[in-house]
Amino acid sequence: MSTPTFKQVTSENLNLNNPVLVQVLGICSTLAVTNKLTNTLIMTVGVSLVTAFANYTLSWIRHLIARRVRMIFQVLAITFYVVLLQLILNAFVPAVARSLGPYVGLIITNCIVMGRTETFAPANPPLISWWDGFTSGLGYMLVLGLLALIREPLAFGTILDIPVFPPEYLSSGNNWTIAIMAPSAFFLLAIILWVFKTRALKIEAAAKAPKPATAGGEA
Amino acid sequence: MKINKDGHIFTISFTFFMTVVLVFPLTLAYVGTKPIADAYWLDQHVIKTLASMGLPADAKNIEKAREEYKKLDKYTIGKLAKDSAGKLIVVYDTIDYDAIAKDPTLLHLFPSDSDRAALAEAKMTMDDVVSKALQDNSYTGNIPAFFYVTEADGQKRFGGDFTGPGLWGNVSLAVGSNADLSEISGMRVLFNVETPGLGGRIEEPGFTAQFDKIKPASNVGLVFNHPGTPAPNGFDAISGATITSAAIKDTINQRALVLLKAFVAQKGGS
Repeated sequence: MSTPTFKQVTSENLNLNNPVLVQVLGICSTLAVTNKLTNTLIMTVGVSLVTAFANYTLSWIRHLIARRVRMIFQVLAITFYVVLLQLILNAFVPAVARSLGPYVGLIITNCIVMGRTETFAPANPPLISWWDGFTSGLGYMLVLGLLALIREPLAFGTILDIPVFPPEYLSSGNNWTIAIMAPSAFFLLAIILWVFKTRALKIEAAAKAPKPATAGGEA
Repeated sequence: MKINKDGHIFTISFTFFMTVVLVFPLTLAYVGTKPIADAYWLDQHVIKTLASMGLPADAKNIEKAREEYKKLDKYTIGKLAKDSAGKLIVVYDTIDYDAIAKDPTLLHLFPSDSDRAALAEAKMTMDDVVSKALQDNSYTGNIPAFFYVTEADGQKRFGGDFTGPGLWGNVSLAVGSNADLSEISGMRVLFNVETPGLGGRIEEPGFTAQFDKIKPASNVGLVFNHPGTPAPNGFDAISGATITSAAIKDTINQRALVLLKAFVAQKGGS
């Protein structure tokens, strides 16, 4: 298998092979951290960096790892970066670290990180592996950001903690409590998946269909 | 000699090598960031303790809050000992809440006069003791019981840190009261690892504000409100977080109020 180019990797990870929408990975944290956009952004930046650097490290030592013990190394490298991230968050943005709670630690078992280090890093050179990890994280960020952008106003009447709805929205108890809780992300994610999948199928069909005549086509 | 990278010896030594290479920088990072993380944790404790006692506490003016906090008289339950390096430390006693509930005189407060002399000799204050206990437990939240007493507007005010079991781990609360324990001046959550978005919401002002000026009944302490009929000693539980809400209720009733009652009996008398 030849090494994919940076451009291919980018478009795959952000679009047609998006880790959340197509591979349906990382759903646990998708449900858990999307009720506030600030948390979502920090969490997804964290996942991007951890995936990128874990991929880089594992790709760098890929010829030295015996295949039967590769899992040990994957978990070791991922854990290293996650604990590092956790220490940095605790020290410099403690309030966010508190509200993210256990989910930063759970990046260790985030399926996207595991998936990329298992499939991409052992077969490709370090730099492209870094890029693959990073763009996978960005693909994850796109979807989670969208979810948070819908959930936060409904749940708290704010975006990035800036009020967007009149104060009566919260004080009269009209806010959607369901939007705070995980099930709302299930519904929203299903809708987003549906829209995305429909579009992806259309693109696929268009790619397979013979090229239509350039002029005189139907409007 | 050609190395067989699939062989046992290479695999084991390489695994060992990589573990050392990765764990070493993590240790450095931990040691390097602990003071920064602790500074925030200690300041939070200062603000929350003062707020629970109804004293002015402004996160934006942390210097003033620290000054205020220094003025509080501080007590705990434990005794002095020496650690392996010969340094003076406080060993915290296991607290028998039931026994103290039956007989408040069983609460033996630290420091006694002789403890105070020993602390002064080692150039330590109770602030050092509290700060060490907090730093030692910043990741577990297993904060020992501390008591605070001060006087504001000619009235004595009492407060304390009380730890109880939550759903996932320790829940540690700062609870303050007026001079005769007829009214709780406030409650703040110092530490919790409850489910984010559900039980974790006990930290939010909307929940903790319910405890401002709440009047615990002498027999049952605090209770949950029934829908539509709020009680003077009642508070609203968090929907979807039954166990965490009950943990708050039990920690306040069975631990905070029990210890505060014994503490007020000894240090009260306004």
